[in-house]
Amino acid sequence: MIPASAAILLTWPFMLWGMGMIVLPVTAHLLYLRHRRRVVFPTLRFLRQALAAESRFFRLRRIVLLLLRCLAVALLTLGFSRPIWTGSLPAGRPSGPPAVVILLDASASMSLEQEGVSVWSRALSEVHASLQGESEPGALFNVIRVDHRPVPAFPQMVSNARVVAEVVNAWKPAQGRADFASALALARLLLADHVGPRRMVFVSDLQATNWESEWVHQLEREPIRWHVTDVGAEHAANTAITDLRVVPDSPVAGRPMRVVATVINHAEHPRTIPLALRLDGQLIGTTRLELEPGKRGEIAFDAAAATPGTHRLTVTTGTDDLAPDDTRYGLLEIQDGLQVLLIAEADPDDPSRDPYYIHRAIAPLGDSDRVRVTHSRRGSLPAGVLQGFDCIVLCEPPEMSDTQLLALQSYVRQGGRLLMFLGNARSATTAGRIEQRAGDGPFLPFLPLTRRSDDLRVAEGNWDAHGLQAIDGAARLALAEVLFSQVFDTTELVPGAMKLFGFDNGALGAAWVARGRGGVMLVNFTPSPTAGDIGKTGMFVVLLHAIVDRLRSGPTADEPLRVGDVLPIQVGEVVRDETGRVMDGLRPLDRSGFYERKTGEDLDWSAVNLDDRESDPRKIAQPPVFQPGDDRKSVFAKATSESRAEELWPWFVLAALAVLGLELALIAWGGWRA
Amino acid sequence: MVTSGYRYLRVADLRRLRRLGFQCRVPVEGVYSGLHRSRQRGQSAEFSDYRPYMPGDEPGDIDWKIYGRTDRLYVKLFEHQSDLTVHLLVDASASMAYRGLASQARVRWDKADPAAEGDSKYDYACRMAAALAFLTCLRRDRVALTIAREGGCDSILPQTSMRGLHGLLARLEEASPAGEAKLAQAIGWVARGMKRRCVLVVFSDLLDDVREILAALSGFRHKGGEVVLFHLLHRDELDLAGLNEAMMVDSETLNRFPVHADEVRKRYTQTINHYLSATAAEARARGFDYNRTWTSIDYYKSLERYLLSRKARR
Repeated sequence: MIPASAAILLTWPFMLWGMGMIVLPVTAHLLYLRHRRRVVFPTLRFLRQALAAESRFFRLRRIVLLLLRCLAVALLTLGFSRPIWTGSLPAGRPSGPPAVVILLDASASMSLEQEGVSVWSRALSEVHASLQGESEPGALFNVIRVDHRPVPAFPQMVSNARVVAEVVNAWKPAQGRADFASALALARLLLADHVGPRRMVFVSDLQATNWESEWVHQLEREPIRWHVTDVGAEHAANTAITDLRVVPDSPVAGRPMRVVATVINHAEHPRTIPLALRLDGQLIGTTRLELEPGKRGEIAFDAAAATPGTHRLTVTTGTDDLAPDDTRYGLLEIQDGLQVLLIAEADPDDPSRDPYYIHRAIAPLGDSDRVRVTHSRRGSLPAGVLQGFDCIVLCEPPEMSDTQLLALQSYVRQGGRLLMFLGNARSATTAGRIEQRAGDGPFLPFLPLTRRSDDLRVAEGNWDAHGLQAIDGAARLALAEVLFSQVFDTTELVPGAMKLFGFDNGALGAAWVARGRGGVMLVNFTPSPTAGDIGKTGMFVVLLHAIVDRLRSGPTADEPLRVGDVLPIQVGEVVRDETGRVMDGLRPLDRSGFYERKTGEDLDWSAVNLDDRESDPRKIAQPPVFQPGDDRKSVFAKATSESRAEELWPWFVLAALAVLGLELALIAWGGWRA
Repeated sequence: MVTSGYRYLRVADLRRLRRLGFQCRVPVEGVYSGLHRSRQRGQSAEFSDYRPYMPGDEPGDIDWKIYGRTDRLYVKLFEHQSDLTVHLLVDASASMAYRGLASQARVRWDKADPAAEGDSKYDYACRMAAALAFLTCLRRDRVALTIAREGGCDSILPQTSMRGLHGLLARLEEASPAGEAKLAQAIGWVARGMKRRCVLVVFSDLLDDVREILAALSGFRHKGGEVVLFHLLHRDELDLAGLNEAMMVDSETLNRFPVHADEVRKRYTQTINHYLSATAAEARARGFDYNRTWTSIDYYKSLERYLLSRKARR
């Protein structure tokens, strides 16, 4: 067995017996000395004297010439033994039949069809040609399906190319991305123990989003010979829906909402893209969007969901070259009516007082507005039922006992939302007392200091925050025109609080802080309709609705699922895909669409979409690491010869000729004599 | 070519050499009267010198004219002209058998050309020795031969007749170089046997112990003889021309080792040149008539050149 450290192997080691031919120059040397012309000379006395001075030098010359001849014989013998340089080949690899692993790109982009020809069918043709191209007996094959979870056709290399081809024929492209890094590792594993030339063939559309990755750089140092076959389509035209969102992001049952889809045109020419929205399978609306090549645009559908709960949204585009990304799946959580407790000292039925005004602002249509407002006056806080309210509004609150204040704090920490208006002195006092009773740190996002006397305007806002998206650009302009005259100077925001908007003097206008499972929003203006403030403007209703929406429980922070992700399954939960197949929570998701999640009688859904990167059909530019121009024949010719490592016999023959040339030069021009 | 019938003596060459003679540069001591100066006192008409009268001298040798002038008695001395004895000493060691690298090239037996082989240093020495022997006999002088081979000496006593020359030539042909010459011993043997002053002509490649050889020659010369030394070499021995890789074998010791000549040629040439220069200087310093002779030059030309120069120096 060849030791692992050997770098030069002999293909025909038996030829080393030819080293015995070294005796030829040695024998000739000796015989020549022995059988020289015999000359009888009168006396050798003078010759002996001359030789004594010169013999050592010339003897060395003759020895050198003899050694050169022996070296030439040795080099020729080694050349005939066909040495090879194994380089980085693992030890113990004498020649054997070739082994080829084909890495077949099965990502979603391989489903692309152009003029009736699919990239996948083209790839299959290349795979079949590669399997049939190797004619050497004993050649071994395997094909790895490279999708989000690469898997080989067979667990080990097989010699029956026809069987491998049959397995590959049954494959279809997946809807996930191609994990070439894992596929490459798998290919190395399959070829690790092979004795003989090894080759990897990549059959792929060379999609840039798959190939512009770190794993490609490994190929530069890959010891196994590899080759890439490009089956990608040129000038593919594809459009895709990359995002789906709802405004407001916590819509209420029965209330209007807007479904916004983001579309991108990956084609090389402008396109008019038809779009259709379905809610729970029902067509809600259609529209068209014109996009320039490479541009992204948004299209909005107006919709409303009658019932609370999880609803399924789908937005579809027209057919293009890549079908799997023509549908975008989303889920919609529709909220039930908002339960609001309004705590104020004033009479809620007095139209001139704040409670009446706020009630009407929150629920303009009364109880049928799906926002139910309950009033509570001094000393009549509903005992034990605070938790039943989605939101509690404090506006000109009455004198509240410590118990009541603690109850409010407890309500917030248990998931409730508290909205508190400043604006008058009592409110400020109440805020101070709430803060004092908090005990273990700040409770409110900020505290009021002194009342200002000047008018302020809203100068900035965190309008992308949950609930405030409804304050669109026009609304912000309008809000900026409102003069706020009942504003307190404030402390700085406490750590962890979020400013919603602020005034032009730097004072905080509204801020939110999470406390426990709930939170507190403190608003630095008065809701009074009579004060010189936003209360008497129409903007107050818009702002109040936005604030109340902000206080509503927002959508869960679940990450959008993509094909290739693993779906977390709870204990006792049964998850099925649209075909009814039960998911086990171990295998990655392999299809886009809706997945039903059932726990007992509770039904929920998960929406899974294609990875947006698969929608971009652009191909990678040719990096220098690729070997363009190799045809299939040369691929396997190289596999046969190059993977046998580099033949060294020409170098040995050249070296032998060089040695002989040196000897002749020494004799002819150097005056050396054998 | 008309040969003399002896391998080492060519008639054609002798025709050229006949007009030359081999004179002795020092007074000789011959047995008979000859043509060469001798320190022996003889009845020659050539006045040599005076000396004071000593009791016992012959009154007839007294120079009465000088007595009349000086009132002193002096005896006349007259030069004795005697014959010359030339002793030829030929080195017949194995190294003298060297014919050159070309002769040792691998050639198919049916394509071998004997003429391409060339003379060995021994052949060359024998030719020169034969020519000198002939010239010596031609002047009625005496010639002796010693062949130093395998540590021994094969000698022929001084001869004056042509018959003796024939025997000498035959002896040269019979001998073949082998083993070590031990030339110094041979020279000593010749010196011990020398009764009278003579000329010793040595033909050798001097690859034995040169100091011993030169010392032995000095001893010979000390006795009054003349030493003529022909240092015979093959060009291949100077620069290893044409040699690349070879297994070199020592001709005398048979030791061997491989050599890449190109690697050592330069150093070898320097070494042997140094040796030759030193040997020549030492020999001349000792008063020998040293002559370096390459076998690539026709022997008669070498001998002719030498004899002419010898004559000029006399």
